[in-house]
Amino acid sequence: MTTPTSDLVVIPGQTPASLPWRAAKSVLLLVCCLLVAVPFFSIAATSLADTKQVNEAGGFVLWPERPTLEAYRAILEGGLVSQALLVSVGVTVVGTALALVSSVTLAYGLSRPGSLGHRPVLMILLFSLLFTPGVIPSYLLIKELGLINSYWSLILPTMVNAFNVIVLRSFFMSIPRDLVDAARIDGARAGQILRSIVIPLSKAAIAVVGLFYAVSYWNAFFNAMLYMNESAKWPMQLVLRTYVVNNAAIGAGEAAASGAALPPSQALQAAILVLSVVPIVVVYPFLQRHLRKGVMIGAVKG
Amino acid sequence: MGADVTRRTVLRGSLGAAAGLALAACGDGGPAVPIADNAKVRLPDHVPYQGVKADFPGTPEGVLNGYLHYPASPVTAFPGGPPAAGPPISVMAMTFNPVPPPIGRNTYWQALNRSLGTELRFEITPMGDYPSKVAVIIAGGDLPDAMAVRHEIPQRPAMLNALFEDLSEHLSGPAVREYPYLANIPTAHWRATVYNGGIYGLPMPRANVGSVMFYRADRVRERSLDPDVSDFRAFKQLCTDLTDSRRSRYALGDPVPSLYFVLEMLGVPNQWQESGGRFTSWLEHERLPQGLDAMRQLVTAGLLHPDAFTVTGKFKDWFGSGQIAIHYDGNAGWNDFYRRYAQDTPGFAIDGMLAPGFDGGPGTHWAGLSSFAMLAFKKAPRERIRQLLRACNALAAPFGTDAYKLRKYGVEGVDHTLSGTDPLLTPTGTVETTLPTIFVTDAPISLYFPEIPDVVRTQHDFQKRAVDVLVRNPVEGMYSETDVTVGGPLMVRMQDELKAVMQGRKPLSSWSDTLRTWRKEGGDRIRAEYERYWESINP
Repeated sequence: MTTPTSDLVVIPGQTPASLPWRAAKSVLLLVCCLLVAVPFFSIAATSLADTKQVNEAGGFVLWPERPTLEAYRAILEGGLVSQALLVSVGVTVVGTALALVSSVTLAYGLSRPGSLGHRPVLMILLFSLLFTPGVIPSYLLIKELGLINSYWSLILPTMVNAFNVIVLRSFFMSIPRDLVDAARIDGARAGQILRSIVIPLSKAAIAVVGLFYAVSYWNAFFNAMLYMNESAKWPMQLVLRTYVVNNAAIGAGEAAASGAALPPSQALQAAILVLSVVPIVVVYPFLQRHLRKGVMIGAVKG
Repeated sequence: MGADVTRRTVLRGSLGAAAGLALAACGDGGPAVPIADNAKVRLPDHVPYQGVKADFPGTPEGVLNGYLHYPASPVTAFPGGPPAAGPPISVMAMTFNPVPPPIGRNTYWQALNRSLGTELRFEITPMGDYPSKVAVIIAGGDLPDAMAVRHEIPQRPAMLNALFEDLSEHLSGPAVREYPYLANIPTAHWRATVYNGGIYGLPMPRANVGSVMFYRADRVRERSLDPDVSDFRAFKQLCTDLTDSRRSRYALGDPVPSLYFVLEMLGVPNQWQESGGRFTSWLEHERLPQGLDAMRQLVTAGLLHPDAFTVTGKFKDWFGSGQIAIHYDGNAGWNDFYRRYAQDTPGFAIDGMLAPGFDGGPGTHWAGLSSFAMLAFKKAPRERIRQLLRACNALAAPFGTDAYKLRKYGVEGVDHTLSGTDPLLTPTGTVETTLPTIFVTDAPISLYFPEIPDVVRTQHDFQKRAVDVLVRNPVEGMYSETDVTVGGPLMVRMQDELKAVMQGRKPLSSWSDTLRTWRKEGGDRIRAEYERYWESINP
């Protein structure tokens, strides 16, 4: 048991930490926070700075002296990025919804020991955790399914993630069996039990897994590169990637020797980073309280 | 970087397997063609385009044509109307640039299609992902009508034989004259398109001069220094005079290309040296250790940027912003440095420096790839191939024509505005014209910089000096499977070792062990394959 005293938690049998020690810890934590926050802030500041200041500062600035939206204007020129943003949002929303439906139902089935084909399905799932399909077999499958150039090719291949299913399954297994049995005695069918009992009790876990899925859909670019021939259908990460990493792909001077233009300026690259993290940063606070509970799944037994 | 290389290596392997699968499945590939047949190929005739007079004429040795201004009345490239009318053409090409807006919102792309009379359907892939994309495309058998084929694609001769069209009957010798703008591409650029005793693609011509040791002429002038260094000692002195570490100003950045410059001083070969059919790699050259030692001196003297060994992708910005004053980069970067940095740096000026002899006298200059990649055509009926060639002929229309102006500068009023007779790209034009037509084919590169025409004079002058001491890579146009599959990752390792010696992490004496590793792990096989190839075409 713990006894709260103002903002300090004192565990019985232990003396509270001394003030200098607490101050030292605070400083340390502050430094840690700054280590995370300053680069983040610097990226945002760089994206708003003009070329002259970025060049003078050697790449990154801490405060834009003459703020300009030039970098954002350059990226959004032509409408490709805004279109890609829509694609990304669509793929992420639809993908996450379908992934949650399939993962929750699969995990629930696997969490009930007597369910049909329980063992083999679990083994297949675990197998996919150890051995992922190669690029070419995946491509051949997508092609045979007629999904090349289709948005489904971005959603279906990563719709069931074995790790997420295992996390959900563990959570479902921790729900007292008596609850399920009681519902069954009351005449509830499996679907009703899942909808009315298991899901409401598992909001935290589902939120976490949903976030995992959403982040992975949001960040994915490789599938789009393989399966989407028309750049008009690319998601945002793939479009933005062409701004940031393209020139690093080959040796010094070869890009320029090939006739390609210089890589985009530092401000533009920073603006891209900001654009690509904004949606996640916006969504995160709403999920955070579930996340805190959710990530503790399995941490404390009993 | 490591992960990247590993992924690429794996993908290369998988491409090999995929190509194998595809080729095995493809019954009409025919038997392998002896290398000797490549010697019998008659390359396309060179018929230089005479329609526009250059302000600074090029030379057959490789100096490019230079132009101060665009002609007031561009020559109509296709007086008979759109040259490639017919069904849409899918083209798979790489890009180094941000992708352009889709065709529905891209005035430039629409105008280009109208001018061709067909729809160019670009399948654009970022350069870093291109090998993986090629792997799956080959494995899946979903070939586009035309595809850029780069030198990192393994089993290339067999792949081309099985899946792509031999264009010899359309392009060899005088046949190319039917496509006058393709005939305008000098013969040397076509060498890398020869496989299986035929011409299997169109070149993407690039400047002979390849790379340039750029220096900030404004900073050199400001300090009243002499950029015409006569030997390594003078170069080192120039670097010292340009370095002011208290103000974070250094002479050099990227260590490996800086080493190349020193090696050019020492007369080390451009990748390979051929003598009587025997090949020597630049890594094995007797003067390489001397070059490493010289670079070590520059590093010890603090003339390289302190982060030079630890960062990638920052060197251009360092050079543009003045943190370093000398920078080895591609020739095409010349205009871009001005476009990017000149407006924020009053007096911004750059020029190219040629390597002097290490101990005085003339040095050398390594030539670049004469063709960045080649465009291969999927096997198709004769008429379809002719339509594709007509489209590519239009995409190779040279400087001075209306087709060139449209291809490079888009639509007037939307993509460019006129300053006098010169087109200047608008922000919309900058975005729309990133459509990778330069990775389909192109006219021979022209020196032209509408923003600051005088720069062309400097560029042309550098070209003239460089071509005099140009050293070509003798294996260009030859094929070594080991070089394709093993050579790339092996070279990355060698560059790490070179950096270790330059930085002082390893002694110079360790280089002989490194070289043994290189020989054992692929170097000797690569050499043997090039020698075999050379013997086959030089019986």
